[in-house]
Amino acid sequence: MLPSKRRREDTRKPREFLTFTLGGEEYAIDILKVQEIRGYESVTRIANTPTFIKGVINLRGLIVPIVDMRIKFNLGEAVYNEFTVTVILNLGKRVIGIVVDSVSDVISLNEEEIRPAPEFGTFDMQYLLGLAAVNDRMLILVDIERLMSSAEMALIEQSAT
Amino acid sequence: MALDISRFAKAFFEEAREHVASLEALLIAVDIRAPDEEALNAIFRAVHSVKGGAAAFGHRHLAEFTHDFESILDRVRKRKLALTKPMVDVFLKAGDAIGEHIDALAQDRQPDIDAMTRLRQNLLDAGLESVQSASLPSATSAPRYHVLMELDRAQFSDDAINALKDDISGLGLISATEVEVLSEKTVAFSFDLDADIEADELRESLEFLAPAEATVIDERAKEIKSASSPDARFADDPDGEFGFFTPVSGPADLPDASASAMSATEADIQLSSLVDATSIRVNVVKVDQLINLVGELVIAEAMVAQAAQGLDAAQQTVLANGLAQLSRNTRNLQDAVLAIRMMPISFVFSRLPRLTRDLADRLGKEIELELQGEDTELDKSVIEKIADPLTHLVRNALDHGIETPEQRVAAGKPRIGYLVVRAAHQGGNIVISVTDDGAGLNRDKILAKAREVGLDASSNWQNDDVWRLIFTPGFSTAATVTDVSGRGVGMDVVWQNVHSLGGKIEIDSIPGLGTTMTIRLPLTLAILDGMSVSVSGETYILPLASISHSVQPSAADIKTVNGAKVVMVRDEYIPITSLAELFNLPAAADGSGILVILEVDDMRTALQVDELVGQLQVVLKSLEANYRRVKGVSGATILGDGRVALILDATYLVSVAHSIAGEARAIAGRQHGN
Repeated sequence: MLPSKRRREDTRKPREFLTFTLGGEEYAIDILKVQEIRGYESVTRIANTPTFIKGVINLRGLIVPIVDMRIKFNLGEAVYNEFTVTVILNLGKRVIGIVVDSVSDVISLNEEEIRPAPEFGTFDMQYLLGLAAVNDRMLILVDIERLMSSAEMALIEQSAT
Repeated sequence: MALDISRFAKAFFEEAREHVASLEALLIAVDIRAPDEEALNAIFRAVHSVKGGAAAFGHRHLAEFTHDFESILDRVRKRKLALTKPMVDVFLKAGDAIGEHIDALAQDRQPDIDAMTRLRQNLLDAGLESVQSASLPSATSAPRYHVLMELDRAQFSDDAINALKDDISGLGLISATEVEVLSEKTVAFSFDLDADIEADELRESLEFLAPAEATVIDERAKEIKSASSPDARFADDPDGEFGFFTPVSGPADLPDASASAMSATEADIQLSSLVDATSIRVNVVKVDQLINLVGELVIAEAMVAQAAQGLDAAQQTVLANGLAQLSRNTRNLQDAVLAIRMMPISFVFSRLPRLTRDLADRLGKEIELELQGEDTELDKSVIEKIADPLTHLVRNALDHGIETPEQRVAAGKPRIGYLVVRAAHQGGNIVISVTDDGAGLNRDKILAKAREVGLDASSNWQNDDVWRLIFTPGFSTAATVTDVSGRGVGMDVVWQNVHSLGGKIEIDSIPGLGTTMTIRLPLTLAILDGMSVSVSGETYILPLASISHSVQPSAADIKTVNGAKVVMVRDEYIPITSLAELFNLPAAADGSGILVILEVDDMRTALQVDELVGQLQVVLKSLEANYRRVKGVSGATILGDGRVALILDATYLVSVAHSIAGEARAIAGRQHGN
């Protein structure tokens, strides 16, 4: 009883989200999960992995896997130039990088502004926190930690396999 | 006003564990018939130190237990009691019980008091009834004194009282010390004292310390002792904070509050730890952090060195000197830092004497164990992982290797079996061997068993191949399953553990003369000597240890067997594995390249790569920390240019080559059959 109540209280405070674009769509993730934003650098590829796993980079001595979200979700064009951005996520004990088209801004959202998402194609519902309309933009709020630790991302050893 | 002593508790547990370990080592080493006086003293001191700490931290049961233990040991060392083997057995068990008690306390579990009470009885029995007789004051009958001193404050400052406490602790176990300011002039200092001396003796001793007329000694009977208020306080205070830690004038007023506020017995422990102050306890995390940082430094240094090569000659010479120096210093720093993690293998060896003793007793065998090279150092992580396999090998040698005394005599061998466990450095490896002078492995029995469990085994096999069968899961030739070994789990686990450390295991056995099992391991898991190779523009690292040699074959040397390529090298056909193919990389256009012959456990494969880049030492990084395990890759490292390179898993590459070759052979066989 108590924890759920507390959670509700927490969400009443505005939360900050980092927004980025994939193709024509705008996504938002919890800013607290973001460690840093870097330009795209060349990766060391790993054999026999899904194409959206670009490989690994050296992040100040840490070996960090890089996922191209554009390939994974088939959004936009997977080109790598000086505008390509890697968002380094810090998810609990793991550090993972995601490649996106561009990073837009950081916005604050109150819970009332977050609406449940309708069933739609790209993302599995369970990885969505909801949708938010800010001015003319529609943001897709992603539970990035859940998505990244899911079996379909193949980033983490699944005990079942 | 009580001082929080919980922060000392951890130190106490660690110290106590060390004392228990040394107690065990001493007990095992002691010559029962002619015990060395120094050894007996050391045994006594170990128990005494535990007792001191236990009392200081209010672990009443432990303090009482060790007190009884100590009393018996005291009589042994004073030669009032002759040491016997059953006695040593009980002492060992008592040591175990203390260890368990400490573990329980450290983990906030309820210690098994009943077991301890029973063992305490055993201890007393071991010390024979004389312990309980009145002639010798012992634990249970030792009078506990309550002493009250009214002291002149002018003469006895706070420090003087603390010094007094120290002096009194020389007489016995001091507890429940209280200081109460009675008036401007006098202060009352009271304490309980557990000492094996008569009241008169005590009075005399105290006279030297404080005016006799101001001292009241109250001798308490045994019954009172167990119910007296100090003891009740012990029990009532689960935090281990009790009266006598109330410092004289409050901890904050004392410059070294913790030290002065400690009871005398605590100071005892402090003193004993000062003796081996040549080593310090450091959290492993800190050491690992240091190693990581140095690893970074090495990489950064390499990056600078590489960048400097692009400069023009004039600038470069200046820079080169500095860089050479930097490089030397970084390597030295790296070596020094890695050496912090190095621990002597005695950490693992120390448990073997006890194991041997217990097992030999249980199996009815007589065995002499010899340990060699205990000071050989290797990485902590390797030590942790080698402990179980090594224990298993020793257990195996005791159980299956060495025969019973009767069998040995019948075979014309000395009654006492001989087991040597040896450790030594050999190149960049550590070699640990377990040698017994037992019956040796039985070739026929192993082959028969192999066929029984449905393994493909031929009697034409070389000994080495036959011996390797014992590492097969579920394989045991023991006629009877004992609780020691012989369940068929174990040797395969040994093999796996050794392999996961990048090591090898060899068996050498001569029927009737004995068996030697040799484990060969890399010294550290933190760095690796590697060879960098390039394939389709990607750089990979191969562990140097598994590279036998490399060849540049002519087209004529390469043949195919059912589509699988093989190469003739030194009169042997070796299957070729193309790294490009395995990793789905675009193959080199002209099919040229170099074959690196990898050898793991006498199995070979020729790995086709585009180019050999060079030999280098790499710092191992985990790929799993942020990603996952990748087949064929054992880890990653960072190259001089800051890029990540994957380290290839030679064992996997070789086994893949052989399973492919095996499949090809099987297909060929089937086609042939049709």
